[in-house]
Amino acid sequence: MTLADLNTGQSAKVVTINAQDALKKRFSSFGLRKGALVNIQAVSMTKSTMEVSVGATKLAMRFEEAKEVAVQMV
Amino acid sequence: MKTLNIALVGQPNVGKSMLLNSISNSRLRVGNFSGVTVEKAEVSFVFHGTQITITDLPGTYSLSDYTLDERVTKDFLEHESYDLILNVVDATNLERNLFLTTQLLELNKKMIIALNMMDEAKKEGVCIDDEQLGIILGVPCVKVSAVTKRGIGKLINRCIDLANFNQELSKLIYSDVLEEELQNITSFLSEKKYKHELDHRTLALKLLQENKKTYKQMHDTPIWVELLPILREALSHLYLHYDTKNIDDIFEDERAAFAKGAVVETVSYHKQKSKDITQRVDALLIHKIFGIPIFLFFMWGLFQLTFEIGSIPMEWIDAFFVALGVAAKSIFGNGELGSIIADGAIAGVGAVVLFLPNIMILFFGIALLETTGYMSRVAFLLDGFFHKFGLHGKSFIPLVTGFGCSVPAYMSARTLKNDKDRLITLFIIGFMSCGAKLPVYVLFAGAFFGTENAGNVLFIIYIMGALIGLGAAKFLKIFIFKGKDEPFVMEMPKYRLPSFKLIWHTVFTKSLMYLKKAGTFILSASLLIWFASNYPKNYELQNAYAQKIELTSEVTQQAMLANELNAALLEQSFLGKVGKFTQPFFAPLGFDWKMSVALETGLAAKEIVVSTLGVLYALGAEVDEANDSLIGEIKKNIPLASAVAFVLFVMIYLPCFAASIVFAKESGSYKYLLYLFVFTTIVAWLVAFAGYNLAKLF
Repeated sequence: MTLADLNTGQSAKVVTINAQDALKKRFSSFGLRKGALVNIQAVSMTKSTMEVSVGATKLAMRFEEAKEVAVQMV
Repeated sequence: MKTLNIALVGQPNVGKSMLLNSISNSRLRVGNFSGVTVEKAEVSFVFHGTQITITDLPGTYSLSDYTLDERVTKDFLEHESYDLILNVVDATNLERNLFLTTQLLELNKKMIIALNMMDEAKKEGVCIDDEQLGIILGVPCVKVSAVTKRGIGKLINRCIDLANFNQELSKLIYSDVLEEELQNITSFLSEKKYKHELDHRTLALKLLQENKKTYKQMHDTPIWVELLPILREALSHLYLHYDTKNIDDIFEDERAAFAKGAVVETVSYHKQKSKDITQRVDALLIHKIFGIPIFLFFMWGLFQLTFEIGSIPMEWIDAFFVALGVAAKSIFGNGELGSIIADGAIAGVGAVVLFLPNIMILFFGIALLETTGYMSRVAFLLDGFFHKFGLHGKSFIPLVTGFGCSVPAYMSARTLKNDKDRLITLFIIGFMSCGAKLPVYVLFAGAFFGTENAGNVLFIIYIMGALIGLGAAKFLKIFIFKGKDEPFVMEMPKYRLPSFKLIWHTVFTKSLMYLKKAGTFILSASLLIWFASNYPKNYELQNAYAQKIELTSEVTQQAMLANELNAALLEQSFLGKVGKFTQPFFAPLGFDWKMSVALETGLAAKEIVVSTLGVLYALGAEVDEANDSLIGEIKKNIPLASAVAFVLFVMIYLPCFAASIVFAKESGSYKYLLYLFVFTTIVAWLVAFAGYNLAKLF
């Protein structure tokens, strides 16, 4: 299950991040790394971008990026 | 006097600029110097007998080289000389902010931490033990609020104190496993009494982090033979413990754990977090259905403001420059000197200064979008659509700005962090017809479609330009700036009320830069055009006409002859020769040499296209788009098909000289300007050719 499979309002825990180094580092600098708790805040109309909260940070990302984050429902 | 150089570092949206503004306050002497592409701001002032210089580095989430901003910051911190790092952190989001702090600690520089936004943190019930945090990090932490100005004096005093004392070593302590390996290597280096510019712990750290430079340095020294097995064992222990062979990952984990630990030990929450205002505002602003209409409404409002309010001072500025030109002619006479000052310098610079009000309003709007946090929401809304064309959600600001003027549009493309995204955006900004192209469109639309349809034609022209631009973006993405799409991962910062002082400061510096440009290279370009259209002189022709004019007594006849003379002179001027020389290139589009010249002078500024056409069609230079007789002349001399091709060409080809220079600066290389020239000329030619042949069918 990945971040892209979650619905608005659902929470999950990050299991692994399969992205390439640059993106992985980028995620990590925002606090999105293994073990982090995430919550889906909003999804755009065309299902192309989503807003995710990690700790006190809110992140916007494309579904393509969200697919690289494996999560586990909590 | 003692000097103190401070590097101001922090993540984006932590109130760095605001803090800088509060620190320097009225003592402000801002020297905004732009680097290659990203600006660093420097502020200098005297405090209690110390000359303090603060360099405001671009905000960055971490010290990697993912984006241009990050690279600028990283390069500065690693290679420039400064006395201490002032790390600004957002007290309401400490853990994420401390992640950058841990990377800064590894630089082994003197450092002080400003816990900013304490006022906001208090409201949210966040309580931070700054003393304890300072002990854990090994650097002083000062609570401040840039908004209420609390703690600012203390912060500066601590900076000065810190500069006077010897450097304390960083206290970044890793997990036991990593510390043990570090200890092994450090003690080996100590036993061998290895000499190096760095201390042994730092060196050991760099070895474990697989720092290329350190490996290169040590590789050829005798100690390497013995060091290698120790290092290998240390790494294999770490790999085993962390279950990964990626050393970067291991250190990321370590830093994250440290930051988390520091927060757990020093931060407490006194009351339930107050209601999330940001979330409630977002529920409306990024609403699935209403989000985009709301955004469009804001943009519409901004443009209304830009053009409605902007047009009021524009009239004054216009009147001022006309009066100045008349005054210059009366002082310097109607001869060469008067002409070069009035028709060259004043007319050219005046045409550019004219747009200052529009530019100020537009910059005000953009600054507002940026500082409130709304910009990221728009990027979120539009990314889906823009992405289809190979653009990034954030491209919309430069593109929309491009309808006003390409110069600020190119500059605002800086908000795009990725090089390829930025380049594609820069390349298609010109497709969004700028305000200066409007006179050309108005002239031709009026000439061929009458006043009742001109408005619709204008609208079609603008829309068509934008659509061709999107197509061009797709083309560039597929064939030129190809490669995998850059990820779109962006922070959506909290909504915050903007500081109008700060916004005014931004608008003011940007306007100043714009004026400076008008006074420098717009001035030189105007003089050049003036020269090329006035030389070489042909006195025989002038004398012949002077006699003819003397012989006729009728005033209208005289005026007509004078216009004819102007046209004849222009035809044999350098500019005229260029036009004749390049005409074959434009012949397939149905342009005569006059239209060709008009396009070429338009390279200096698009407004000049109309005035050149006016001169060339023998009406004298005092022509504007509302002049009925120029419309008549155009109708008489230019076939519809050529006119269509002309408008299409103007729509697409290279933006004005000023914009081209800015483009070169923002893209980082004159090479790209050459590409832009070739690209836009080819597209303009092809589109105009197609338009010409289509129009001929009707």
